[in-house]
Amino acid sequence: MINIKKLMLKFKSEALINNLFNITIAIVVALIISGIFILFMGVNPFYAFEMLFYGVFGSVFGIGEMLAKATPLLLVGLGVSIAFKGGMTNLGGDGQFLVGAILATIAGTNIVGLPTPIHMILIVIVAALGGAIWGGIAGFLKAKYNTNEVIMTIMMNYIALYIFSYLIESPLRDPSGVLPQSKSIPIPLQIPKLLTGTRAHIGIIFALILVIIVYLLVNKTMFGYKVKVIGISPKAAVYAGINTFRQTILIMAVSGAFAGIAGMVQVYAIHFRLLDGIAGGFGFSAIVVALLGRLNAYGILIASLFVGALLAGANSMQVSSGVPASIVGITQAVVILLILINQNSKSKFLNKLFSKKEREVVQDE
Amino acid sequence: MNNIFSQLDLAFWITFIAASVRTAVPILLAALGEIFAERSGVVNINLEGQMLFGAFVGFIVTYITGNLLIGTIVGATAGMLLALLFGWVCISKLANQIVAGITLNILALGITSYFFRIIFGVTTKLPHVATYQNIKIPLLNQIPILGEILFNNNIIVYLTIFIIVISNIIIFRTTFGLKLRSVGEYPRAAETMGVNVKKMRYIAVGICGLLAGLGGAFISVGILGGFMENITQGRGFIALAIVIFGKWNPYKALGAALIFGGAEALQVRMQVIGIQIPYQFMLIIPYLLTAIVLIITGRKAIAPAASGIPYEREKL
Repeated sequence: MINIKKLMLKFKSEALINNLFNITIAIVVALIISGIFILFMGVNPFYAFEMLFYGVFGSVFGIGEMLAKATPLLLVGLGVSIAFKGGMTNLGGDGQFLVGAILATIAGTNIVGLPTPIHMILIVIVAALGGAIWGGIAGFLKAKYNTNEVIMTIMMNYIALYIFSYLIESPLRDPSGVLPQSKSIPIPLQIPKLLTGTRAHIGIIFALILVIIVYLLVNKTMFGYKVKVIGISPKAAVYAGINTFRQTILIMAVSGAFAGIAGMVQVYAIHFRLLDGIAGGFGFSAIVVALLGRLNAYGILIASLFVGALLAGANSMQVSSGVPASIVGITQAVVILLILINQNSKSKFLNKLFSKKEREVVQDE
Repeated sequence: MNNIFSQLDLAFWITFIAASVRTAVPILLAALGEIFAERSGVVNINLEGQMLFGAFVGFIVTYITGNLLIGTIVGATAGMLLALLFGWVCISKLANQIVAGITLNILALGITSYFFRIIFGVTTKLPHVATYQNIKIPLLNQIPILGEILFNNNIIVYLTIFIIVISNIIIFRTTFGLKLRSVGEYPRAAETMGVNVKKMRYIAVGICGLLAGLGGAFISVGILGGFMENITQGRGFIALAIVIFGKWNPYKALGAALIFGGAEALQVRMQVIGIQIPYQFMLIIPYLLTAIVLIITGRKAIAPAASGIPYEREKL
């Protein structure tokens, strides 16, 4: 017995090391490929990467930027991972983020007289609810009408984006502002800074708590168990007596709730109001984060710091070397691409996790 | 209100329908490509990225050479190359098609934004190229109303009509089409009959990328005469919805694409004639329509049985 246990442990750690090795190789190769792209514009890639690295780790401000960028990525990424685990693809991070941000801002600027802690809790709940509704709609439509959630969440991103744009131009617009933006959040409600002189805020601590909660939720609760069963085999889920209709909605709603919270955090800690471009493509980077973190809560934490560092460093690299910051979009995509290609037949992790064949079956039930 | 209705005369409707045809072309081309891919068993979520690639490369090459035709052809080829990369990841490396598609969409957005920025820098004045001239087809364009709508268009529009007809024949009337469909329905059986599943899928994905790239190039050099970051604005995903709505059939996809072209043209015209609705609600129309269409078609849509599933030859 003990031998088997030991063997299993060894096997597990070997798989982990194998994984880490693959990811490290993927990152190195992705950086080399990005370097070639940088060469195209006649800049020394080593100089550019030095600037990128220096931009993050050369100052407290840089580290703060990394944490500030990582926080929303971490939150949205956790949500995305839950959908992936449940066999669904939530590309609606941006839309859910915006709905959360809108509702949180309305709750923060229009309700007065509540004690600050209660008001804050209310705001977080409202934001989570907003994201949950926006994600839950896609889940409901999938469960009820068999709509493709990939296309639906993308459409709902655009719908949310234009509603957002309308709201900040008319009903929620701050009449004293020049640009279309909402009234600012009252100072007592703003999320305090973690490091003074940077944009890092204590929202990241909140996000860290959520990492542990997601880990427990996925691995130690009934909900997490059901999510995994549906993700691996919806048919088995039906036979096991799991209400897949309800679970599909719930999975997408929970997934969206995280993006909604991210929207709230971004407004209350970084921008202090609604303004154009606050979602800034976090939805897609969060997909990268979730996949890079192997859909594991702790892995996602590390991945979010990595992508956060890339994004933060890219800005300072753009300023000092002129290399466009969009290069890190290429880097992110190449990392994931290499991991996808590199999956040997032994660990077809992602394929097994959300193989389409099994998902289709449940829709016929 | 009187003022608005007085503008809705015959000339308005003719230009509206003509504009609908024009805006339908890029999504229709992409949707036609996707029909090939999905019929062969590959769900190409990367369609958006392939359109974006076509739009970007088509624009850049036109800008440099000054030749629209060369630009369009190279743009379409660029879409095909991205599609073949997608195909390699999904068909040979057996990766999950949705994840691979999303990843390559991010890659396409990154590459096009990066190179656009490198080539043109940060300018407020967007670079422009001339767009295609309309070619009037003699006699036919004399037909009242219809002549103006159908026979006074640019070459890509005519080409698209040709491609619809040809696609339908290829898919439903040729041996190649039969093989294609069998690979998408039951690859194992197809292989037993001597069809090379992977080869068929590569060809289908290649055709898909070529058409998506052409559609993308039509957006940049055929309609707008310019490029900006993420110019496709989700049209690749709308095309995916059209394929479902059109039941994987070229002619039905044409009908669906025209509805979307109409929605987009309507949205532009409503803004022009000054109906008092915030412009954002007009811009929502195509996306909302896509969502509604997906809901309506949801249960009735029966995709090719093997679409989305990587195929691995049984090991002997």
